[in-house]
Amino acid sequence: MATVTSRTAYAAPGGNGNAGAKSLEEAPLVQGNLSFHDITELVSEHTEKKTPLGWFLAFSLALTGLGILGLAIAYLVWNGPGVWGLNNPVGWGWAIVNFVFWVGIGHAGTLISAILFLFRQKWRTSINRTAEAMTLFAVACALLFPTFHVGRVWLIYWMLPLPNQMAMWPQFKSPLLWDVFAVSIYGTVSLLFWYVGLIPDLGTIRDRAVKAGRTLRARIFGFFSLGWTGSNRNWRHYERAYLLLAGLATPLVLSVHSVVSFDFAISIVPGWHTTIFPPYFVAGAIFSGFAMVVTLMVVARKVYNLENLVTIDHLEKMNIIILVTGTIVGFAYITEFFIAWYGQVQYEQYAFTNRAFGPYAWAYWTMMSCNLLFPQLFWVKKFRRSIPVMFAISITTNIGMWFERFVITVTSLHRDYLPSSWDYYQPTMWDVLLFVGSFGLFFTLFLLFLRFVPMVAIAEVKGVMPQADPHFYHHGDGHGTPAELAEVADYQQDAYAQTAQDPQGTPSDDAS
Amino acid sequence: MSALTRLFFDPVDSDRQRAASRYQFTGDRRLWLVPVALGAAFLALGLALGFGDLQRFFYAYLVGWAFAVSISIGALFFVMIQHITKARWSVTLRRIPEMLAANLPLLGVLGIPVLIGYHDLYHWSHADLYEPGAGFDYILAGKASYFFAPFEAGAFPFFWVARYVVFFVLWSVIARKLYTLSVGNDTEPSAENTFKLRKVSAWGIPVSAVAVSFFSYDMLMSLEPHWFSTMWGVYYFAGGWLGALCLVTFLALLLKRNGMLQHEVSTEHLQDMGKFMFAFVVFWTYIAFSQYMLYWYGNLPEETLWFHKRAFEGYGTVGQALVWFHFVLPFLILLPRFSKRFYPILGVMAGWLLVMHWIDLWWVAMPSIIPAGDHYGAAEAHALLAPAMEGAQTVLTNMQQAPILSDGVPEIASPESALPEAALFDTLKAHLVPAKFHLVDILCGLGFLFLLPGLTLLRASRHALTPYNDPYFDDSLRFENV
Repeated sequence: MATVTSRTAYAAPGGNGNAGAKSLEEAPLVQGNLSFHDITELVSEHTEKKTPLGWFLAFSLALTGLGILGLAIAYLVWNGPGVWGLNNPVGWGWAIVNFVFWVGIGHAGTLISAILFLFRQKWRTSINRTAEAMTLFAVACALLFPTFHVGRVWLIYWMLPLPNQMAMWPQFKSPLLWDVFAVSIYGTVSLLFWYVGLIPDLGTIRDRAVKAGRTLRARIFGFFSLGWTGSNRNWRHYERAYLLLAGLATPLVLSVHSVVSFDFAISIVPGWHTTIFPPYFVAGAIFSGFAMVVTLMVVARKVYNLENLVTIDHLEKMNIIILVTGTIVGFAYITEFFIAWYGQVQYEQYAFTNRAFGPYAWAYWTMMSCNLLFPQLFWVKKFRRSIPVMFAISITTNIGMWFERFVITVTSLHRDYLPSSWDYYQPTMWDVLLFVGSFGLFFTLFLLFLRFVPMVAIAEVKGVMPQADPHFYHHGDGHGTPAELAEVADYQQDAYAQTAQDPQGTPSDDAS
Repeated sequence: MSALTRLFFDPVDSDRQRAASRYQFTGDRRLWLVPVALGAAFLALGLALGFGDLQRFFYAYLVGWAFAVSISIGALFFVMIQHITKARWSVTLRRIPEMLAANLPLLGVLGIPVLIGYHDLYHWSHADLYEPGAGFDYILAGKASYFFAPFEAGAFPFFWVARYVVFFVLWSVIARKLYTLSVGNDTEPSAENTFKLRKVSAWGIPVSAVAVSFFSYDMLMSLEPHWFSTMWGVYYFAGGWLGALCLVTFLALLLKRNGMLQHEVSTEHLQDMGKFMFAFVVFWTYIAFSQYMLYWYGNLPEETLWFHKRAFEGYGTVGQALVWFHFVLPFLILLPRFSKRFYPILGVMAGWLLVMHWIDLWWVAMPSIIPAGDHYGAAEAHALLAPAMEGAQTVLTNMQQAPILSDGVPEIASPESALPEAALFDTLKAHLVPAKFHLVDILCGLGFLFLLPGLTLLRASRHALTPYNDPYFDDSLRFENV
């Protein structure tokens, strides 16, 4: 009996499978017919060339922001948090909003590196380095706010359970203390993960510096590359460490924002005390983190000429994640609203009606449209692949997610159980300057990263290219279909191609 | 084949004549006959024994049925997620969850006893709660429209039944599309099928997600009509998804053991299923813990009531057992690579977690109305524990009478304020006598535990066991964990 198999159906052009106009073939992750050497060049050159004027311009802008941050912090520490707009019922204002906003943004990096790594999503390789760096800087920005919110910042070490003569102990039952542990562990593991991933690339940069005769540069990169030689043993250890760190970082991605959500959810404030908070905060964090990655990558890939590495396909995949997480977050809003009605607790019902129709309705509907409504545009493939649309939506997502935290924090607090305490909360200039300043810190660090560190994981990107397949150059020996052979012929012959024919030959340009 | 069979059992006629024979069911027919027969027999026996106490029977049936539905929905999500992510690794075993999800129309029919028994099951259905007087419940009256609209409170719960119908129609339509397109692709392969499958999955995921949330509120959360939790939909889904992973793994192992799917489903695929099981054991725990911890910490009576019933009063033993046996034990066993690649351990853990999922739902549903100590043997247990309790009573009384601080508040320490003996005895009794599984519970649970895989295997025997003409089939065959 003749049966059709997938080989006969899809392999040969003109088979049943290829009848439609659409194709099941996926575009290669790296485009532009690049060789391994091209990738090294493309990424390394930005750390090696003379600093462009544009970078200085951007950097001076970021430094201005950093200066504003310094000013705002100095004024704050001198006068105390009274300079903020906090009032009697609203004891948590922009500081906690900004903290949660930045921690949320700091989720994309480790999600991309750890969870997508465990799910074998090869497309992550082009964006993981930048996303992880962004994560670290976002966590740094986040930590600013609670640190200075304590008022007497010089006593911040009291947060840690250090033995002391006064027998004073932090309050272990407080989720704010859990935050100290959760965020610091997350920051540490993210830093380690980022650094471990960097080692092979730092080795590459070092080798190129040696070759170019730049001794100091070679020394510095030599120090940080920990004697990387690119040997088999090096790679084995590296990959084992990377896998272990990915496994350890995965629960952290979920735990950090769950703990942040506990800050609100354990208290019995209407609108805060709801059980869906942990997973819904995690989804929101991924949502905002990916939006920030899209915002940054859309610009960076253009400026740094990386459009072949960070392709429209990469951006489209991120936009799908934005659509999914935005919808999850939106459904969580609706669930909260429904359960507030279903639960028939009058305080909860009031809190939610007040959110949507009270004095802060403008913030609520900003949040709703930015987080639930606008991302729905990504159902349309054309919009998912349009740079202006995705840039606009990534910005509105960032705005919407900031407003989500604002809505949660302020709307629940400004209507206390005691109507005599009710008040309207408004930030002061110092709230605003501190927030603007945190962007200064973020972009200062990010620009330094772009300037001095390979911004794409060179070794990992090479690993997902067709050339990395051990059988890639062996198709002449009877394996592979004619179509596959034709595909191989399309690829540029690079240094590895020659060494494949000459087993004694060594690749000359880099160690990775 | 009749239209009814097509609608409720298998929308595609058997294609054994046309599909590639090497991928077909070659096992003994007892493989499906025995579980189907056993499942039906257990359910019939459960009904027969449950006639004396119909409320118990309806509760037992609800638990078993909700267990089967959750797993089928989990399988439905599994298939949709594979399509939407263009997953390649899972193609060879994708037919099993497709066959599982195809049970949804039938489960819609099998839920009719729950609809019939709604008056015994759901406290909110009692009309006297909505009539002015001593029994009036203003909380339930406030949300009555969620169950009774457009009728008045206490009448026929039209909205509740309508949602039931809508949810099952939606799931059935999605499951049917996923099933027919995939099975159809075996004999008439076309890339179009793959695109259509992706499209169905794209809208199917959000639609099913909303449906499963409200379904879980309707069927399980409303058993305690005063209680509410925004996490509830996620909790039910997390358990069902884990159950689906376990049943798919179990069926794959069963088929392999009987000489099928030898080369198609390899240790590599099963290891990945094991990883998923491990990950979602943790996810279920994360959701369960978050829900519990937040209510425990908030300590509001309207929220803690639900957990109070389940943490004390006899059901606490089951609650604690869930922590150890639904989380700690599977976590430790599934952690090493070895156990995920060793079929006997993987198979046992899949079965184990399925039973745990059933116990989880039992623990959710049963305490709603049925008190723990209300079973045969409770009186004996009380008598046995009485001496111990008297000892505890003495200690507690002494403690209450002893001065706590040297110059503390003296009136606390007066002997009159000690707990009355009978009250203390009752409290301790309620805490110490564990809840028991009733025979009817077990029969209904086993009924669905057998019926679900049995029907799935029967369906599987009519088509190829793996979507061998899927464009990614070869990629899936080559899949390796590196």
